[in-house]
Amino acid sequence: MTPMRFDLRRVPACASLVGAVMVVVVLAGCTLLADLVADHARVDADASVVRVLVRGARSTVVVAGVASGLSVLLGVVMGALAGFLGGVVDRALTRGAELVAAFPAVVMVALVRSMSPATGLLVTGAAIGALRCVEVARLVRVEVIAWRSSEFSVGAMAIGAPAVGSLVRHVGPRLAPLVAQTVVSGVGAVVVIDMLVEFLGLGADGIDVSRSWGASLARAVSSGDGTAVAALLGASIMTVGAVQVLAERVRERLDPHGKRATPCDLRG
Amino acid sequence: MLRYALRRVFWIIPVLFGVTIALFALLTRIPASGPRSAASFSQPPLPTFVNLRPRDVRALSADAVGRMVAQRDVDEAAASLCRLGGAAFPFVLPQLDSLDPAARERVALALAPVAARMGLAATESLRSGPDAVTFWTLYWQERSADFKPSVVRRAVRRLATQGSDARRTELVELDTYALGELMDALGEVQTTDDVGRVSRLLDVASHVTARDDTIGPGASVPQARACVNRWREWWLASRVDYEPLTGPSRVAAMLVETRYGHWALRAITWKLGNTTDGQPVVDKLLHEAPRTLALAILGLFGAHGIGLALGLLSAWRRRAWIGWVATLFAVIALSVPAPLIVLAVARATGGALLAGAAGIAIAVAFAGSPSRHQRLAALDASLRDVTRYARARGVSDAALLLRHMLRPTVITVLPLFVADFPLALSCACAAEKALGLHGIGLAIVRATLDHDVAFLMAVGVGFTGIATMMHAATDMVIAMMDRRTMRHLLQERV
Repeated sequence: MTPMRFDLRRVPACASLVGAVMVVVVLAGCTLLADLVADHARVDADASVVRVLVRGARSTVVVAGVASGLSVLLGVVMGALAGFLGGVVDRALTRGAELVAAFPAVVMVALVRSMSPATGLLVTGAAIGALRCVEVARLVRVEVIAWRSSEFSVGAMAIGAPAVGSLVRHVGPRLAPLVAQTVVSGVGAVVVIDMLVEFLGLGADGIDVSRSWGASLARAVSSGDGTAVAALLGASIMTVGAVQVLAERVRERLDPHGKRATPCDLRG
Repeated sequence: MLRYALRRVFWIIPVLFGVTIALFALLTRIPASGPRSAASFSQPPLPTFVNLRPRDVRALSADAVGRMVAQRDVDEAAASLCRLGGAAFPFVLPQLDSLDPAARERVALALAPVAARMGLAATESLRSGPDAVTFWTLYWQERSADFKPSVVRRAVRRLATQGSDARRTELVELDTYALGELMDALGEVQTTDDVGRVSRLLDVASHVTARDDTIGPGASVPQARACVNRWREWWLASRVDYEPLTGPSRVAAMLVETRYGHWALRAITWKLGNTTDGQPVVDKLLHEAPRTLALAILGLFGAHGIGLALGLLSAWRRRAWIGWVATLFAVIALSVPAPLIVLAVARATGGALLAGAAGIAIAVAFAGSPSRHQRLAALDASLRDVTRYARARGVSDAALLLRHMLRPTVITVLPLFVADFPLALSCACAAEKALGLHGIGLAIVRATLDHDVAFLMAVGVGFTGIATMMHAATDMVIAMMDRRTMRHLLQERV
């Protein structure tokens, strides 16, 4: 019988799998756990940190999911259209990007959130997604323009290859790692923006701050609660780290150069 | 390239116009809550962008008279007529005879407080309907010739030149009909003579409108100027209540007599309007915004510098310790909010160089994203055939890094510079709050809480202009670094 050997190259895959399972478990279990822990928190002061972590995990995952999904969807479509079609479409989409940059992101999120405080999570996620889609769109636009200008693209067109098919075949794999990396940034941005909104006093009245890691972090900082700050920061770093591992795995799987070479080759 | 730059500069004006419309649509959808919001949106009946049926003094007075004839909301209609005052006389008094006797008496009685305000008769003497009708019929027969623009203009000019009780009484007897000329005659307030002039004019305006906002004796030039600004702002919102719309002005009113139109007029007339504390928005922006912008932009430059270096190193030495350190740094930078980094850096520097600490913190907080994107692009570049060939030919590491990995990959990361700008501004605001720095950050937060539309619109317009220039600049830099993209990126032929 051949002994099983643990391949170090499988570490990212395992980590991403564990991360994905953790996200699903947190999302599904938090609803049940939140009430249980909240009851416990009434008698045990230390449990409040746990409660914040558990409840905040749910909202952070939801908001990050909505924000990332929206930003990727809108950003890729907008960026690809702007880069591929150019002209009026490019100009119109660029003007849209300039509009999004009209306000500090926190102010935009606070304004949008104040329009319908009842649906805070989804609205916050949508607002952050709309803001971040500009980043994806700009990156995708430049990537598509670079592809249109490349020799192999011009050559493919010259021999009659369909433009859209060529775009999907050549640019798609190059965009996947970029989009995955943007999702990583997006998860961090959710915590950062949430904290900034609360830190600047722009949080809507009547919203339970324990629903959000960012808002809880701002409260913990202002009250000097070192334990809560450490716990929340640790949770945030671990979440972003898990998504980073996942993104790295996506990049390796979709690497257009395949596995015939690794960057280490540069070092001989 | 120059043609592209000029084209973008010319396009800024229509872009800003579009941005103001979009921003205004967003801001007016936000429910009012603060004390300022009531002042900002004091005309709920006004539509946001297009007013198909603008109402002027003629329509308002006809509406009030109609309600009095129909005996519907009589008290409210009487109050409306009283507020319109002398400005409604040319439309109400000539029609008195055509009304039925009871309605005629109701209208005449409703105007009795106006007669008292004009100093023509005491309210008590016009208590009976027939007396009031007789009074107003005779009054219009004798004085209708005075309700002409030329007469009012002359009376206002005389009061502005030299004040006297007789000249003041002459204008008071014209009541609100003289308001337009009074407002036009306010002019600039630069000397003590100007203070006296506007003081006399606003005294009459205050009397006929019952607005308790006058220039007291011994008021300084800035105080008088502030009072004049308040009156002008009020007049902008209330002008059509006292003046009829005719011909082209009616067509223009379809756009002007809207909430957006009022904002636009304020913006054009008074340098984007005034803040809640009465300060001109432009002055406040010019005074405080440069520090915040400098903080955000320098922080972004630092972030991209750090990000480029780390991204390049982590791609070059992917499996070495520097690669793992760069990844760890990026994860921490992406997940730790900037205010915490600001506070940590400020503590590390012992409270010295607070602005520098804020800039470093923003640079660190935003280095995560460019470093990861740069790493991705550099990994891709390192696997290209040209790079591998150059390596095989013995090109040095430095040349490989700078020529084959840095140059072609910077264009991937440059767009992030503009995309991160709104979040960097937020972090600059937070840094100002955390460290007590002077800047526009706290003013923006206060305006957001108060829904100060004038200030938020000005901030939006200003920052959009900056973002537009940054977009154009990054496009040009990318086109210069990879000239193959010039045709598509700048819509130019090489």
